[in-house]
Amino acid sequence: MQSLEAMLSLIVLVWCASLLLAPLEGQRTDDSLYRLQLVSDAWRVLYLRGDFQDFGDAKQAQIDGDLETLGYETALCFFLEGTRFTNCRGGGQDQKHEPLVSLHRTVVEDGLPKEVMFSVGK
Amino acid sequence: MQTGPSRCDVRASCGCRNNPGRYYCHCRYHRHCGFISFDGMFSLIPIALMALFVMSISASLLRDAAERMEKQQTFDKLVSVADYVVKSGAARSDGGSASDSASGLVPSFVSSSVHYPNWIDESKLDSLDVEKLRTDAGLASLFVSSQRPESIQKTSSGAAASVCIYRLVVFGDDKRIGRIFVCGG
Repeated sequence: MQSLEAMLSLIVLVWCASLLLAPLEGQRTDDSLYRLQLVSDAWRVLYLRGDFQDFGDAKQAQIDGDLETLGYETALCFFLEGTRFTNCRGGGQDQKHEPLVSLHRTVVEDGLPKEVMFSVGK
Repeated sequence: MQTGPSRCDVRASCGCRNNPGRYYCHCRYHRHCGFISFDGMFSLIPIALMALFVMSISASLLRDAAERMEKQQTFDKLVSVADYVVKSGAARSDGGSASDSASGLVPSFVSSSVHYPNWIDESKLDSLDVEKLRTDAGLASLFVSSQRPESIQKTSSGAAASVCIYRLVVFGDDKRIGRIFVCGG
């Protein structure tokens, strides 16, 4: 009887250990800071290239072109929410793309400050 | 005074007798050396197996945790190195001369030059002291370049890079979009 109890205890122990180990196996490197730096880089690149001077629809071709280049370099999707600027057409970010990180920024459009959200998704 | 057998005695039965003219006590010891019950044996084997299993699981967990921590540390170091390169080490800068310090307006320990983060000066990137960065960061190998790491398999120290990250930057006066690759291990 005692050996049977011990065997059952062993089985329960193995089961509990496998349950405990399962989430540990799935842990990945924490790259949240790097993601934030990456989206800041993309914003900074657009800024350095003058995409936010006289910001507006007139700049669509230039901004879209730069976003395309960024998308080509990184294989990521960039969205300027609140505007139509993106390198990934066809559906909103929430519908088709997995969002990675977002930044709140203010741009000047027609002389007025406008808050936009710059997002990166897969 | 009673003196029993040395080690294996587990039971003692004592009795006293009252013979005519003489009263004495006597203890008899029963030895059980070498006796193991089957029930105890069959209980001990699974317990030993469980202990072994717990120890092996603990060792495995510790090993995995150490590997994960080492990988995270390497990744964080590379992120820091890349941030330094993009914001200061290879960033284009204007101004900042010795006369600024001599004038007393700027303390000697403060750099008066203006850096442009993410705008890379390729000459500064080429002359970057990667070996010093590697030593300061405590990395075994480090590779910093604007070229894709596939084209350069070996790092400056000759070791193959294990982790690679990149940062988005612009190069040159025409501000063409590119990437800086930082790899190491």
